[in-house]
Amino acid sequence: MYLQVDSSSISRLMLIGTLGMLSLAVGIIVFVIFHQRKVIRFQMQMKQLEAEKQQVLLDASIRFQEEERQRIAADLHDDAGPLLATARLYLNENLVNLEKPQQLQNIISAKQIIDDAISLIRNISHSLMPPTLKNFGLESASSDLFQKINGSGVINATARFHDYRERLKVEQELLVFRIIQELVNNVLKHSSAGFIHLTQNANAEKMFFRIHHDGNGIVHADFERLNKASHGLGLKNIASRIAVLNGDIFFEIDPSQTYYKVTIEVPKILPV
Amino acid sequence: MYSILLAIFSICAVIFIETKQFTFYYKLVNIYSIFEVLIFTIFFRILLYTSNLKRISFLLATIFVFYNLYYLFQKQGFTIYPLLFEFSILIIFIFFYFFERINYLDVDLLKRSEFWINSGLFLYFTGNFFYLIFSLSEINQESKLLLLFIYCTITILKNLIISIGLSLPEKSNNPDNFLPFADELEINTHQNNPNPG
Repeated sequence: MYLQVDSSSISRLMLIGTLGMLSLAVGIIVFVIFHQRKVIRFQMQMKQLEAEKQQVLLDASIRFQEEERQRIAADLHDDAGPLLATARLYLNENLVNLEKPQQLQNIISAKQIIDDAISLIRNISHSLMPPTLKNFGLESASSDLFQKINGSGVINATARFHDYRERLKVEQELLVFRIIQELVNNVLKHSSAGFIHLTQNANAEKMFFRIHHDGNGIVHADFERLNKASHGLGLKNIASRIAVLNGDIFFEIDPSQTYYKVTIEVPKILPV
Repeated sequence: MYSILLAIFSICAVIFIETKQFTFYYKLVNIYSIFEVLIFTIFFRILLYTSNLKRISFLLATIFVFYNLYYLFQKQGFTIYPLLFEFSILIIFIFFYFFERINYLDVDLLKRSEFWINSGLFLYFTGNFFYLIFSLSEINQESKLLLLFIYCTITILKNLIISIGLSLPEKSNNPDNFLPFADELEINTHQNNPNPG
């Protein structure tokens, strides 16, 4: 390629062209360095936030477990222990020295106390793992739970499953049941509600559970704020269970402003 | 390997120029270009992660080899087109590398030696692009000196940047959790047996 151009123009062109190309090259290299650093920094921040969130959930989970254990230990120590100790008093070695009617009375009293202890231990066991859930599924266990609450007379509680022909897996049912239990406990403890109603629906991919109540509730912004706070283990447990299910939860107030709704979405298939 | 290749071809080029065998010199330049592109293709195939980019680089290198072989066997005299094609291909390869490195965020780029090598080569090929275009023009002595100055400056810059990359420390093979003190089991063993052996 031969260019018949004035030499000084060529020199100028060469210099300008070379400097231009070099500036472009340097610009590209600098852009690549700074852009990559910016994105790395952003990713590190995201990882840190994720790690902090996981730590908070883990801490909440551990504290919740410890509280549960302490409660069970207290129930056994404060209730079951004294009952069995009292039964033992009635059945001591002196029993053989007593008159027959007195012996019979002591045995009947001891039996009554042992029955109370059995009932207490059964209740503790059921609160750990309800047999209805294991044997008959989520629908029966939820209906059972709501019937017991309704039976107390404190609140009007009902549950209705519209489409539960296809059951969730056992581990999913347990997690959903615990979430429903926790939400119901929160309503009973904090909301002073007059009624609480559970409904269930399903589509091809997901199952939907909704709890309605007419007491003092929270909306989703409150849930997110309380979740980030250091106290409030129940909501954190709900959040971590939802995360394990790969589901979603949403707190809202009905447009009529008369009742609150909590909606839980659970995919029918657990992630691998 | 590239340095050895460059050294061999440079010696041969000097011999051919001194003995005024310019036809052999031009063919040597063509052959050198082919080897250079092949070496860089292998280099970038190792560096690049994306299989599509690897395929494209292989395709471009293949096209270049056939194009250069055509000039080697068919054309007499020196022509600038194969060199321009070579520079363009190598600039494209370096663009591929930079494009990937923006998206793959494993480590800070300045700590990687291949980034410095690619940056040096990138400056070399882009800076000498105009030099190539104008090198065969009918220019006066002053312009030739300017050309030579530009070429030498850019070559020195390239070599400086590449040597920074080559002088970067290599990744240590020691595990990250290397303890700066003796393992407690070793201490216990030593305490139990103060006179080993």
